[in-house]
This record gives sequence, C-alpha cells and structure tokens, in this order.
Amino acid sequence: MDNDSRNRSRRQFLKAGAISGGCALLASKAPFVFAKKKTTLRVLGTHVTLQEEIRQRAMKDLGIDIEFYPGGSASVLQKASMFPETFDLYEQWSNSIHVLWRSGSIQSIDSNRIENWQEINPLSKTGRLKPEAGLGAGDAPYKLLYVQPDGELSFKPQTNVSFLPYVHNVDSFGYNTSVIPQGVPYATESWGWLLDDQYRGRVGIVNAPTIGLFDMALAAQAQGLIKFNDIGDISREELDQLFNILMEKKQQGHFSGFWTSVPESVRFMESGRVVIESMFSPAVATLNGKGIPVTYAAPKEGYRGWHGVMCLSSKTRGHVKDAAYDYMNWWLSGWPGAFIARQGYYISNPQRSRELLSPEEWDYWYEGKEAIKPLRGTDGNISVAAGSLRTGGSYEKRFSNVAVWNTVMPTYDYSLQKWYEFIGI
Amino acid sequence: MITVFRNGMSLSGFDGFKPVMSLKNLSIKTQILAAFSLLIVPLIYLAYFMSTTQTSFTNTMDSLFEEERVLSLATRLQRDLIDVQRNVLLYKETASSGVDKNITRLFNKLEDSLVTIREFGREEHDEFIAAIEHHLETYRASYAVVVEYRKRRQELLKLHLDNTVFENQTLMRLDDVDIEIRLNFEKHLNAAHSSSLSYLVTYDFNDVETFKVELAKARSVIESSQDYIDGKTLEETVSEYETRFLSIVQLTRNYIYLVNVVMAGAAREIRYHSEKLLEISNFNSVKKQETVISRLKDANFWSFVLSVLTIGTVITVSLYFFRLIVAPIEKITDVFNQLIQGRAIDNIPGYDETNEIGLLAKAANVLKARNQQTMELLAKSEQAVETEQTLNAELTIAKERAERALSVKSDFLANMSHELRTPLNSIIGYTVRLQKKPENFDKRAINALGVIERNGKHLLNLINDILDLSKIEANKLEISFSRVDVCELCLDVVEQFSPEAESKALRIQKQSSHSSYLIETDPIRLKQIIINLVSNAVKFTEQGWVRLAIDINEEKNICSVSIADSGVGIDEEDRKLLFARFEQVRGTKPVRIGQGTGLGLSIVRSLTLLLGGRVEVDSEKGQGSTFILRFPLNR
Repeated sequence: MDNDSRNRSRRQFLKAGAISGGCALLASKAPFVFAKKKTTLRVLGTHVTLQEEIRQRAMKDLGIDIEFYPGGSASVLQKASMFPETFDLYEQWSNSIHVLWRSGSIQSIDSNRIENWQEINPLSKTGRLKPEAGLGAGDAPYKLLYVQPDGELSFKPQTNVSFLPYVHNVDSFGYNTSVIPQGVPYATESWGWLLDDQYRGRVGIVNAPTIGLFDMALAAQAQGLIKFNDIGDISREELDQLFNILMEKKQQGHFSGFWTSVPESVRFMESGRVVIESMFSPAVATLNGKGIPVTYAAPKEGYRGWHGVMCLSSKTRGHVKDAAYDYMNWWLSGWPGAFIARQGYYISNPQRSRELLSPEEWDYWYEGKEAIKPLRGTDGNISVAAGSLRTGGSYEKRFSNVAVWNTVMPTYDYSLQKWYEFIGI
Repeated sequence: MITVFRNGMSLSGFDGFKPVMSLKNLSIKTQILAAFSLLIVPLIYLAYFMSTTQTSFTNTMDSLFEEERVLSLATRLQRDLIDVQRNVLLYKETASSGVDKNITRLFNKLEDSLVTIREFGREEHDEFIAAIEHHLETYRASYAVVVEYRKRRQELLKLHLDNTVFENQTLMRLDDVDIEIRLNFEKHLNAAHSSSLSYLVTYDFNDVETFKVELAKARSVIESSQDYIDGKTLEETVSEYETRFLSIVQLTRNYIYLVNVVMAGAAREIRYHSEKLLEISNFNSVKKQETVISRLKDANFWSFVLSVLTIGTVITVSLYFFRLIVAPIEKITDVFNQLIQGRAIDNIPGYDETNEIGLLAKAANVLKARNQQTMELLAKSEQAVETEQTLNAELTIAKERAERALSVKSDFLANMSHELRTPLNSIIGYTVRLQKKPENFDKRAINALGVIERNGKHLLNLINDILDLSKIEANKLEISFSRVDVCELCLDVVEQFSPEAESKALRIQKQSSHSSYLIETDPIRLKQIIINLVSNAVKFTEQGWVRLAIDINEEKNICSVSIADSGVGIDEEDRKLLFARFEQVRGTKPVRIGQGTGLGLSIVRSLTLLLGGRVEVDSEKGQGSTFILRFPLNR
C-alpha cells in the first residue's frame, strides 16, 4: 500500500518530468557547445559505454579532453574502490555501488545539477516501469539511488544521489542457432540451458561473481537442481549447494570458458569455442553483424537486470567536477541514448533519444516491433535484418521480466571463495 | 617406322613417331646420344623425386622438432602457470616476501616461454600468444595490485589488532565520568572488535554489519562526551577505528576478488590458450607425419613407376640399338670377316646409309676392291712360283748333271794323272839313268836327255798340281789337323831352299819372335803352301833376298806368315789374276819349263781356305812382293 502510493506519485512525477524535460532539452542545448576551460576528464569504466565514437562526440560537443580507461568490470571496480584519485567518473553497474560507496571512493551527485533529472524514468527511481511489473530480486538500482542524511543508500528520495542512472539493459544468454534449435521467447528459452548436458564443453560464463553467479543460480534453479529462498540474497548453505552442483558440472568439462569482456565473449562464440554463453547484448549484435546466428534468449524465468551507474570520484573537485557534470548531462542529452540504443541498450530518459532515432529504429529497439527495414548498427553495418523481431519484446516487457538484478549480496565474500573453486584451474 | 624396324618389328611407342623414323639417317654418335638422353630422362625424374622426398622429409623432421619444442614450451608454460597460481594462493595467505620473489621469477619464466614461442614466428600461434600475453598482463597487473593491497592491509591490520587506544587512555577517562556509560561503551566496543576479528577469520559480511551496528551503539553511548584522546574527540577516534577496519575489509575483498576472480579467470584463459598451442602443435605433428607418410608413399609409387619406365626404356633402347646399330654393325663385321677371309661378296649392306654404317660399308667396298686386286696378284705370283719351281727342278738336274760331269772330270783327271805319271816316271827315271852314263852319248844326245828330263819333271809337276786341284775341286783332298810347330816348319822350308837361293846368290832368311810355337793345322798342306810361296819368291827374284817372317798374335788368335822378296814385283792388273788358274805374271820373262805350272797360287789360295786362313798380296812392279798368310792359332 505504501509502496503503491509511492509508485503512483513517482509516475505522476515522471509525467511532469517528461514535460519539463522537453523544455530542459531546448534550454540545455546551448551550454554543452560553449567551450570551457580545456579540461581533461578521466573516465574509468567498461567497454560497454567507453566507446571511441562516444568519446569523440563528447569531446566535440563539450570542448573538453576526455580520456577513457576501459577495463574488465572487476578490475575497474577494484581500481575505483581503492584509487579514487585515478579517475573522475566511473561508469559501471549498480552492483558496484555498494562497494564504491562503502569504500568512500565516490561522492554523491547533486541531482539538481542534472538538467534532465526529471526525465529519468521510474525504473531507477521506483524499480518499476509499470505498476504490475515485478521488482526483481537483489539490489534493484532504486534501492541504492538516494543518499540518506546518515550516509546510507536507500530508495527514499533525496536530492543527492549515489549515481546517475543512464544505460541499462537486461541480460540473459546467447545461443548459436546453427547448433541449438531456435527456442520460443518466455516459453521454451530457459536459463536451464546453460547447464544442459547436451552443450557440455561448449558453455561460456561471465567471470564476475556478482553477475555470473546469478546466471548459474537461475540456471540451476531452472533445471530444478536447487530452490533458492531468495535468489537476490543467497545464503551460505545455498551457495555451498549451488557450487556443489557447478563443481560437478565443471568436472564433467561442462564449461569451456569464463569471459571478462564483451569482445572476449564475441571471440568465444565466433571461434566456436562455445555455442551458448552468458552474454551482453552488444556482443549479440556484433556476432549477428558477422553473420553468426546468435539469438539473445528471453528466458521464461526472467532476465538478469543490470543498471548502468555513472559515479563521481570522491577526489574530483573544481572545474573537473564541473566538466564531469557536463559529461553526465551530455549523456542524458539524447545523442548518446540514441547511439547506444542501436547497440541494444536503453537510456534512462528514452524520449529524448527517440527524436534522434528513426521510427523504425524506435519501434524495433524500444517497442519490440518487427524491423520493417534493415537497421544499421553504430559501426554502419546492417545489424538488424528487415523482418527481425527483438527477442524479449519491448522495453517495458523486458524490464517487467527481471528475475534478479546484479547484486553484491551479504554472502559476497564467501561467494568469492566458492567462485575460485569454480573457475580455478 | 618401316625404315627403323624394317624387319617388321614394331614398338607401338614409336609408331608414327617421325623424329625416330629419321633417326636412322643420323650418325650413330647422335643416335647413341639420343638414346642416352632417353635413358637419362627417367633417371632425372627419379633423382628429382628422391631429392624432393629427401628435402620434404628433412623439412618435416625440422618442423616436427620445432613442434616438439613448442609442445615442450607450452607444457612448461602450463606447469609454471600452475606454480604461479599455487604461489599466489600462498602469498594471499602469508604475504611472504620469499613467495613474492618466487612469483616474480615464475612470471619471468612464463614471459620467456612466450617470447620463445613467438620467436618461431608462426601465424597460427599469434592469436593464442596474443591472448596469453593479454591475460598474463592482466594477471601480473592484478598481482601487483594484490601485493599493494596485501601490504596496506598488513599495516592497517597491525594497527587494528594492536588497538590499545580504548583500553588505556579512553576508558580511564570515562572512568571518571560514569561507570555505567563506561561499561556500556566497552561492551559495544568489545562486541564490535570481536566481530571484526570474526570477519578476519570467516570473511562473513554479517560480521562487518555487526561491527558497524555495535560501533554505532558505542558511538551513541558517548555522544555527549567531549573527551579527547590525542587531540581528537572520542567520536573521531571511534570513526577512525571504524574507517580503518572497513578499509581492511575493502582491501581484503579486493585482493581476494583479484586472486579468486580476475587472476583465476586470467589463469584459466592462459591455460586454455596454451592448450590450444599444444593442440596446434599436436595437430601439426600428426598432419606432418601423415604428410610425410603420404609423400613417402607417393615417392615409392613414383620411384616404382619410374623404375619400370627406366627398365622399359632400357629394353626399348637396347632393342632399338640392336635393330638400328648392332645388327648392321654385325652384318658389316661379317662382311669384313668374309673380305678378310678373301671370300667374294656380292652385296655390301648399308652402302646407301649416310651414317657410320654407311662409312663402314664404303670402307668394306674399298677392301673388297683391294681384295680383288690382291687375288689377281696372288694368281700371278702363284704362276711365277710354279715357273720358278720348274726352273729350279731343271737347275737341280743340270747341277747334278754338272756335278756328275765334274766328278767324272776329276776321276778322269786323277786316273789320267796316275796313268800319265807312271809312264812319265819311267821316262824320267830312264832319262836320269841315261844321263848317269854320259860317256855313252854325244853332246847333242846329252842335251836332249837334259831337255827330256826337264820337260818330264815339268810335266810331272803339272800333273801333280792338276791332281791336287782336281782333288780340291772334287772335295777329295784330305785335311788332317794336328799340333804343328810353325817355326820349325818354316825353318825346314828355308833350309830346303837355301841351296837354290845360294845358287842365285840370294839371301834367304827366317824371322820370328818365337823360336817355337804350336798351332793347330795340317802340317803337310801348310808346308805345301809355304814351299809354293817361297819357291815363287826364289824363282822370281834375281838378286837380293827372300825373307820369311812369322808373327803370332794370340790376342786375335792369328798366326801370320809373310814371305817377302826383292824380286820383280807384280803390277795391279796382274794382282787381280794372280790366284787364277794357269795365270802367270805377264811381262815376266816367258815361263821356262820346270819353272812353274801356273797353278801354284791357285792351289795356295784353295789350300789356305781349306785350312781356315786367307792369303793376301802386297806388291809393286819392280819393288818386290810380299805374300801374307793368316791362320787361326786354333781350329
């Protein structure tokens, strides 16, 4: 009841935000092109958002120097949590917030300085795009967004936020349909396939306990090998049980590899090393562009959701901090959202990017409709053939089917031990 | 075809092969060269195949060794990787500097292995080496962070565990304030510290949560306290304590994350890609082995085919040679043999050919012509021989006839001499008897008797000489050799002629280096020769001397007897006729009866020859003569 009313008010707020966001767009077009003092902004993050085209475009639009330090999700998190002086902005996923916030390596962001803040949709503010949508287990981003006066992170709205919500998506697994028969989204496609013995030796998993662990947990649960009390908060005993199952599979040679970056996951599939693996959507787009028939599954158990977070280093001050705010504002200014939409990602204020997408693109990427003509990816190649349908359907449908969010659970430390046992030589 | 195999033999391979057809007109030298060239072709192919097979085999062996090296390097890489992992786990627990050194050493080893594999420059390795390098770099970088974190944690942990701040000073001061507050604060603080220790053992995050809750409680207890420790409020000290522990938690999590996730993942990938290197090497090794086996099979097949081809070519070429070269040569040789044997040849084979066979045929033709000439000459020569034989036969008959006539003549002369000597001796004997009674006869009759006696004796000498000559010519003179003292013999002759020489007032003398010397000869005949010559010397010398000299030359085995005189001498013309029968030196005064028969020197020469010697004369008209006899000392 309490939840409901809060959700309702959020939705109203969103509507209002959308209108004011439209005004803000008009008002905010100019500031980004004013050349400020030539500042260098150091951005630490992953390949998902640290793309050269984005950097070039941002430098052009903002008149500042931007240096990207892309790395594996784990190593960048480490670096960020230990050495806040080495970066200004950190771009990763919501499951890193706990770590970064507790380690004091990021500072809060003043939402008042985010010009399009009001346009940001309720997914990251309330956890639901639609009232009837499930929240998803684990650390839903909205639970970590607001910085409370006591320094804790919570869903209770505050002016200061721990991260800027921007890119997000749902993940599942991809499979090569030249080997594995095409499944039916939400009906036959299941996380359980990842542990299916018939793909033994040709399965790839993402090497990140906060992500891959859930893929495995969902798979084991889908196979009926285990039943979790709360998949977003797996207990030690449940971890033992899960890893016992996984170790057995490992000993049978079930897993071929554990990837740490998107290009690596592409190579895994491209080389034929795997036929089914945990995947991020750009890898699927890349492989399809290369003519490898990979389907990004819409598992009947629901997706593993992730939400991009842009965080401000606790050490960033002065004009660099201003530049960081400019960069954050730029991300919500439309072009980046449209750019990443063509790679299959969603932006927290999609309406602003919609203007920069063709109706066909919007229909395909956001509405989950059939592509009525071939669509090009960001590399200029056709990435979506005419007649294609995005697996999992529309933005809303996909985010209404989030089984679990990438999460740092209380048993995280213990899971690290188990993970080593799992992936070690 | 017809030209080449005219005996009807056909080798299908050559059917319709025009260059071969015209081969017959080429020289044999060219044909042999062509044949050898034909033989060389399969041999060259064979050699080529052997060489390529050898090269391929060598190359494959080299590649195999290289693969072996890659295998061993990749295996070493895997072994070192496991070693590194083990040491990293050890380091995670102990932070031992020895282990750290070990790890650094192993990293270097890993990199060395990679560099060495890369040095093989194999494109197929590139992808995997690059992947290994990438993951190794991640691994090393992560390890460096782990070391860093581990050190920092160690420092912080030391401070955390050595925390006497609250026990000594803080609690003492609180003591003064309120015992209840103090106990309450102490209770929460201890609980928090216990939780922190528990976390360090179990890594259970709930302990961290408890730690934070307990500290919050402790903090709330002393909220009002304004006590200072080392210039900080109690609240600040608690916060410092909390931050320090949370940093330890963060560091621990991070390095564990690095080791357990990032490094483990990287190690796994290194392992995977090194496995790929092993697979490539294994695959290549097997493939290369298969290739070399298949090449060897191919080579065997081809060497068999080429061997068969070579044998076939050898047989073909031999047959071809036999037909084209050997057979014609045999024929021409046969022709030569026949020609040598002198048989008539009607037809010379290969006469029309332009090659060496043709030349041989032409040579045979020349031989044939020569043969014909020779045959003609032979026929003529046979005819001549026949004539000669006839003549010889006739000659033999004539000779026999002559010899018979000569024998008859000698017999006749001997008989007649004997028959003449008997009455002549009677005449002379009776004449001498009559002269012994001069008183019975008048002066005229005495003169007549003197004439009869002289002529009788001259006739007798003549008859004796003729008898001797006859015997010599008829080979009936008997010669009997014995040891004779030549000096004594000569002295006898000198003494024999001394009275006659004295009657003409001539000095006759004998000269000799030896007083006595034996030679082997017939004494009667030698004496006859010397008497004859001394007699002539005395006869033809009117005044002066006659000298008989003996000279022995043992070295030359010659005995020289010279008879010299100071008489009339003989001119050159006369010397030529000196030893002919019935010749006397012309210009001398007419031979008087009883002075010589004209046969003396002829007999001298004949006897000298019979004794194995020879006679020479040296004379000038009016300057005297010297006759020199030379005999061997021994027979």
